[in-house]
Amino acid sequence: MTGRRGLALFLNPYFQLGASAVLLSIAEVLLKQGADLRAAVDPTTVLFGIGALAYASTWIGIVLYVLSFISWLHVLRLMPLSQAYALINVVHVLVPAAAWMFLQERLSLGRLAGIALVFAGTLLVAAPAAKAEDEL
Amino acid sequence: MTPWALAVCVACQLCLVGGQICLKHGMNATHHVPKPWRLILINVAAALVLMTVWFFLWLGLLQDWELSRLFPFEALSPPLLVFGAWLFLNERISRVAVAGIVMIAAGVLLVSQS
Repeated sequence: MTGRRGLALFLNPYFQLGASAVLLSIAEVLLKQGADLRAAVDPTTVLFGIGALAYASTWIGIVLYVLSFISWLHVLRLMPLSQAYALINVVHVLVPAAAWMFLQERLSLGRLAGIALVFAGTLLVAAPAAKAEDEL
Repeated sequence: MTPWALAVCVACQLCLVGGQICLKHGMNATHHVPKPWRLILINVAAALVLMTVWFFLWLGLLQDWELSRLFPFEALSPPLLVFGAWLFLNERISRVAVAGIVMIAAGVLLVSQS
């Protein structure tokens, strides 16, 4: 009974949406770590960051990105696109917070204000964007 | 941020949105009977190419710029979808969408200068 309840919770679209957002945030931090390791060896500006593939954090980041995408696909099967779009925007808060916490990035007042504007804007545009994606 | 980096950020998001649309068309075509395999394969292959380009452009940007400065550019995807619908389908852009797009654009600009 507990197992069935656990499975139901695991497959709940809101749980999966949260999981998708958290996995994406961790993936971004790991990709950044891989890119930083590459930049420490060769600081030349490159168009394609293929060199970062030499590091384990990049590959773990890729795996987490794929898992986040699978969760997102599960969410889209059970939730209207406009609602899912609006809720997943929490990543615009989670990723900068993770960058501050785990990468010691400094979040200036200007950057925080910009992030807040982006977050509010994505909430407004979620429904029209979902409609546009359905039609395109 | 340099104008070059800003241009790469926008190109990156164009690839992502293009890839998502191709993937969606490919997946939608799987519901047709008989399955249009050629159409499905072309769309899925185009999506894979575009998403691979997006991913390596993103990794390249991450080598030079902070994550908290780059990530807000991901929010350009919804405005690009709305613009796409306006451009290709003559869809009207609602006032709410315009307000959202202006806020995202202002926010991204503010972050890029921070």
